[in-house]
Amino acid sequence: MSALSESLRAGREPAVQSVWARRFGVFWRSWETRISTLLLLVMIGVALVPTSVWPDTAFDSNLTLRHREPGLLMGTTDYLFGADALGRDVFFRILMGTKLTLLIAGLATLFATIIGSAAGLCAAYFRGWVDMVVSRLVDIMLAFPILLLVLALVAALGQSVSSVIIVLALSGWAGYARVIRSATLSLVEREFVEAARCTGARSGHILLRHLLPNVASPILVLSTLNLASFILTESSVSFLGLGPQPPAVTWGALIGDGRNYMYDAWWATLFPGLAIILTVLAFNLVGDAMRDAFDPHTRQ
Amino acid sequence: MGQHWKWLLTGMSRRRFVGGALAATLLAACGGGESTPTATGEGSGGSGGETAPTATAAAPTVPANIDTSGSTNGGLVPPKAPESNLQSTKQLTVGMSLDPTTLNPVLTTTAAYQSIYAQILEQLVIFGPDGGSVSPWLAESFEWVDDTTLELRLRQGISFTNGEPFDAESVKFSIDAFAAAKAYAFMIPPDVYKETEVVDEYTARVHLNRPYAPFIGFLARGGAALPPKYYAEVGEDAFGQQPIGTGPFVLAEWVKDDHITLKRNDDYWNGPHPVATVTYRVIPEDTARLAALETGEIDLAMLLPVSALNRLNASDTVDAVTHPGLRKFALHFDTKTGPEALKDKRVRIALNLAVDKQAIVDGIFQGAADPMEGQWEARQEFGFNPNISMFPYDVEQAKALLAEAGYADGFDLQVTYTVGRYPQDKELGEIVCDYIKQVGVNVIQRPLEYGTFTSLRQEGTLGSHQWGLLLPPEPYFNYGNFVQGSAYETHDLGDEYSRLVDEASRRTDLDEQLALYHQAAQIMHDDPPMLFLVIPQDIYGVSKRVRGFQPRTDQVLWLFTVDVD
Amino acid sequence: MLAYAIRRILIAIPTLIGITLITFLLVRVTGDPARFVLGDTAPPSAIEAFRAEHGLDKPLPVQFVNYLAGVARGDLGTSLRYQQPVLTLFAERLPATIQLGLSAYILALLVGVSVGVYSALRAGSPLDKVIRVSVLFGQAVPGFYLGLVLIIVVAVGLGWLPTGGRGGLSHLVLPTITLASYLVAFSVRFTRSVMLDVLHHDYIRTARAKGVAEGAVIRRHALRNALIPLVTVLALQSSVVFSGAVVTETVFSWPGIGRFALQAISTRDFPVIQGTVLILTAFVVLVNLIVDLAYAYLDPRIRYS
Repeated sequence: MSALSESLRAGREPAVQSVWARRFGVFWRSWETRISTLLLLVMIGVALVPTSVWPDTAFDSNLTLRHREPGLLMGTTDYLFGADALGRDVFFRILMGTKLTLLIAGLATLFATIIGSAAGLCAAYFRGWVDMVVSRLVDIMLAFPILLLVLALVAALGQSVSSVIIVLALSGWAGYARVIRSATLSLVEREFVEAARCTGARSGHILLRHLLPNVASPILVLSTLNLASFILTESSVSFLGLGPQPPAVTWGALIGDGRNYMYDAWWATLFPGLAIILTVLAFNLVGDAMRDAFDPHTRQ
Repeated sequence: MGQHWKWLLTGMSRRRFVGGALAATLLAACGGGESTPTATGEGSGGSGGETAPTATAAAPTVPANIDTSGSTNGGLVPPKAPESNLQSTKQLTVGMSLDPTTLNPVLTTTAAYQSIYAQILEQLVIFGPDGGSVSPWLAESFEWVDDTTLELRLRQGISFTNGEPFDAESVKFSIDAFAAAKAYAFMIPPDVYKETEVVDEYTARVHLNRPYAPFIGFLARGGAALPPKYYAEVGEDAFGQQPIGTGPFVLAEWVKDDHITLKRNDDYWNGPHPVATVTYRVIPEDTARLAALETGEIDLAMLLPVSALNRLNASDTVDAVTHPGLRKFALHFDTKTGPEALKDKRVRIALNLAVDKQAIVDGIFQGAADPMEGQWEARQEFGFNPNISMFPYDVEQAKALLAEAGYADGFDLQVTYTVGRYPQDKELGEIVCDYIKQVGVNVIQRPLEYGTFTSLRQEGTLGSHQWGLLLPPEPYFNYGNFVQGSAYETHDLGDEYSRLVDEASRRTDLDEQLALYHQAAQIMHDDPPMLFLVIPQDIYGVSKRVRGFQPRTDQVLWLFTVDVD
Repeated sequence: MLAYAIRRILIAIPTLIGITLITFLLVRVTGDPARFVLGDTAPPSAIEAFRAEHGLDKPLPVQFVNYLAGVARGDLGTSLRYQQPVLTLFAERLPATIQLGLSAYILALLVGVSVGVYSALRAGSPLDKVIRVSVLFGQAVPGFYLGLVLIIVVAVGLGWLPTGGRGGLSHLVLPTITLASYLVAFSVRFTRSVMLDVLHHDYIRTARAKGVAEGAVIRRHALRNALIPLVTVLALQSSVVFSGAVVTETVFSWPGIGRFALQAISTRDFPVIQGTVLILTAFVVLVNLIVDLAYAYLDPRIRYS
């Protein structure tokens, strides 16, 4: 995994405040990153809009408007992206679905990050049986076909937003654990950790104050890339019919709803699909740029 | 197209046809006691099977009906095919939505599986394509000798493709197997079947412990002829992998989850089939099945979604064929654990008035569905009560009834529905909830994937739920599900309902049976245990090179009348 | 080397047992199989008989020990839905998945190496930009979406290829592209970045300085150093391929393990879910083990780390 090894390398770098300006310079230098960052900020803004703000046409079915053609084609702004099988406005449903799509990916990433980082840090710091158990668990988790695992777990826990989040987090932590473990391993032997140990600092203190800040950059990079992959996994789960259900809306669910009408009403799948592709693309670009920024070898 | 269906019991002392359309009436019995039906297939040329399917726009196809003119040919058996068919090398490819787990009819009642094994294994008696009738097939005739004795007279000179003879012994073996089968337990309670007696080589008598008229329906649903020696030798599971029967085709190849190939049985008793090879391809995705049909990879696509209609109708190479279905979508009210409000029948009636079924039919189903008419039975079924009419769409009346019941401000109602199990089930669930909201009821939607749905159903925590049930067109298998203590009961319809249905199941006289079922239907209408919704039509995509395809109400594909150019 | 190999193999054993335990627990919480098999109207007596027959009435630890014993004997249980041994059902569908998976790998290697090398050599050129953007798109498009679009455009619209099912080579093209989209993007990126690294190494500079032809430099030095890690990381992606197979096989009606497993999940066919997840995961563990050992054999430094 190139992503992992490169972020690993980034992780060895000691945290020094003065480098942040240089990092931002590297990060911000390409136009792709700037556009992606802007796009993501807009998406997050849309996700923060309270659901009640969206017009009724996003919620209420109206069979007389079933599969209305996109306003885009007719030069009007109402039903810009057309209407779905129940006559609801696809444009506003996509905007509405942003909240849940990002929330699921975001919370799942957060939990995966917490579990994975904690496991990785502890494994590298304590070694011994802790390392053994964590490493075996990581081996196991990484060997599972994740999608199958997610589907089976969602089927087991019942379909709900929370179970999708839990399942994604459970399936995604192992990647962090592995990377953070190796990043930490190279740190525990270093002088500043030794020094902290000698002064009698407790393990918790060393882990949180000395080790965690030093692996923060790979964590940040991984999280960004992970958001993208969780959005993709969630959309697959929704497509296969096991995702969050009405009245909840995610982009994947919109595609799932529209796929039977791909001939008659392509807009009901095309636009949510574009939303997914663009967002995932943006997260990947930002993640890559962040990795470059954290990589001391990158020239400005 | 007056008559939608008939109830034709060949060999009974009377035969009865019920005029269809809106005000169907029971016609007087016709046909005398001596009219021994022959239904031999030869010569009499039943007009039924060959009726070409009607290609439609959004309008439903009227079922290509079997001959109801009262002729003695009540059978579905087509004329004997000429030996010259042996020269043909024609191929037919069918797109199925799922791969069978087994091709042993004893182990399954799934219509999609039967659509394959029906070409290999033949039934003693079968439902007509309209679902409202039972006709003889391998049995030449059948007759209730008394309340508990059914006599079957068999066609002669037929053998299984492994050489075993088809005779009364094999019929006894077969009926024994089906009566004991777990899959058929819901059609035949354990105390019903006594034994089958071999009267002579071609006559068998079924003895029952108590009067049980639906036995005919059970036979028409299961009741395939099994080769006793082979079946006993290999066992039921292996038989399901390599079935042998008397049918026009034999199993040639089965690649799991991919395709099943059947080859013509050259020695078929009714003449060799004009098609040499039939291939069933498993294409679970609806969109993909439609695409395969359009590109000519398959000739016949089973059970397509409504979304296929526009494509099919616009196509030069394929037709859409629709057929009134039996999958009944209803919102079953749980009055036992559900909200207090549901216990008041005015509330349940109000909810029935709150949903515009016609708009759903026209909108979501593009016309390819029929609204349920204030009762469980579909119009084409024998147990349908023509005197009951559909609950109209009347929001004002619904609100008034709710107010009268003391729920002017509505109440909380959790509605569980299946998602992705049946075509359009998610859309239907969403729109029904939207309609209910409009009369002031606070709906909490709980859409569930079918696996979870079934788990909760079995735990008894499903609550009020909407789903699509497909039951065999025998009235008892329908009405019987809502009697006290039965599997689908979510609301107690009272002692009288249970008594009526039980009584009906004991009457072999169809007049008496029907009168009882009509009363039961009225009880169900007046005290509705469910929100009667719609019955989607079955949609098939048929290549123009296919001739004689006849959709059936039971969703089983019968190739007996099918040919290809 | 031997000591290292033994250690790696010993480590794999608890991993495999852990996988068995997790898959076992996974399906125990998914609901009651009896109802799914017997139907909704089965009487309680039949349900109980079914549970007894399949040992579902015993305490969980007993069930697990029984299951482990079965697995050790090569018995993965009987499918509730098909009433046949899980192993048989699995074996019937395995060739389809292997065929699809291998062709996706081959495509990923061919495209990944050629495009990746080109992109590295011409780093910064307009074509390199195009390649990098396409790669990012390849990683951003959900597999099912790509599959549906390919069916509609290539199979139905243009009529060039079949819409699905397994058959000749033509049936293989669209599913392979769909399944490989992620792998291709991955290997292009990987090859590009490894090549860029390698090209800056001293020995390449030395070779160039010595006047070795550019083509030979790339073939003899750079490519060889990029290819081994690429094959290695691709092999480590096998669990990703199985996940992709679930979606691809569903969209293209491909009669393989992925679709089979998905179907088992929706019908709650416990033994099948258990069996397929177990075999697939064990397969991934073994592939990883082999890759590790091979790598250690090739690069002795690994053994001592």
